[in-house]
Amino acid sequence: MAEDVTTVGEIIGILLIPIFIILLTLGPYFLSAIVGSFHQNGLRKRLEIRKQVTLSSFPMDPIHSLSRPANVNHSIQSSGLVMANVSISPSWWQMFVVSIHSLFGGNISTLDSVIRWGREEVIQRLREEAQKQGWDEVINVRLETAMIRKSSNASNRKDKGAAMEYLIYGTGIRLSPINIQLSSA
Amino acid sequence: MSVVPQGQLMLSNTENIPGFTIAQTLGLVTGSTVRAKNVFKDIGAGFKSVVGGELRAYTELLQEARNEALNRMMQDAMSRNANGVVNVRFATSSVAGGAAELFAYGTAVIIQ
Repeated sequence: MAEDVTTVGEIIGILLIPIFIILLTLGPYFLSAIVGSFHQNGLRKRLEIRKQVTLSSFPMDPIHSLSRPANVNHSIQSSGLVMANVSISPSWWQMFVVSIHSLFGGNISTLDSVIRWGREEVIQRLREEAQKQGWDEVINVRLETAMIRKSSNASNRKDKGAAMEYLIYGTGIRLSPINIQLSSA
Repeated sequence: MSVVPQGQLMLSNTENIPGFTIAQTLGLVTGSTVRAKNVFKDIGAGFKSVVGGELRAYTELLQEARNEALNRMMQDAMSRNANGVVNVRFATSSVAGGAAELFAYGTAVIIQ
């Protein structure tokens, strides 16, 4: 009977179905991996350039966590609160890798990159804010992290992303142009 | 010594306001606000989290909300006739799904 004969084409057809299903479910993740890595590399490169531009306009890194100005040669003219924030999110692919990694534990290098970028970004934003407002130094800098969106568990897969917010704040200091040591000498 | 600016509240997250001395401490002042995120912005942020990186909608939302909390704290301080707030701190906590509380607190002082 012709109906009982299975052709090579039918076997290939049956094999293709699971491949299509796998591609449909994992496709967005692969897309996220490719586009996400380009996007995040671009962000890192741009941050590095911005950092060098800002640092070159100050005699030293204006941000530190000491409670008094590092430059003791000048008296303080004015001060004010300065803050910056950024909310970041790992890509779907990174969250997917994390869920696999969390079975074994250990260092998760794929998430490391985006977290480190977020911290550098918020520190750079404080530098830029300090430059914009004309502060010479930002003292007593504090960094805070808050989870603003948690990735949902396996039973509810509609929300695959997690998001966290970095807040950085400190006291901006404007130094008077008169050098104390020179004027007292 | 610097001159105290009139009608202006000086903020600092250090123990004292640099360049001034504290004449009187007026106690803790607080300001808080609870914000929920916009559904449309949330969907946009959901799409953005496919590739990761910054979620600008959230950054702006939290920035606005934190400024609001800071303003309320400043109003509290002004109602006590303070001219400065020292040791300003921020706290964030998520209350009931999708809403976040932003909290700012500090010590109101009279500086000279």
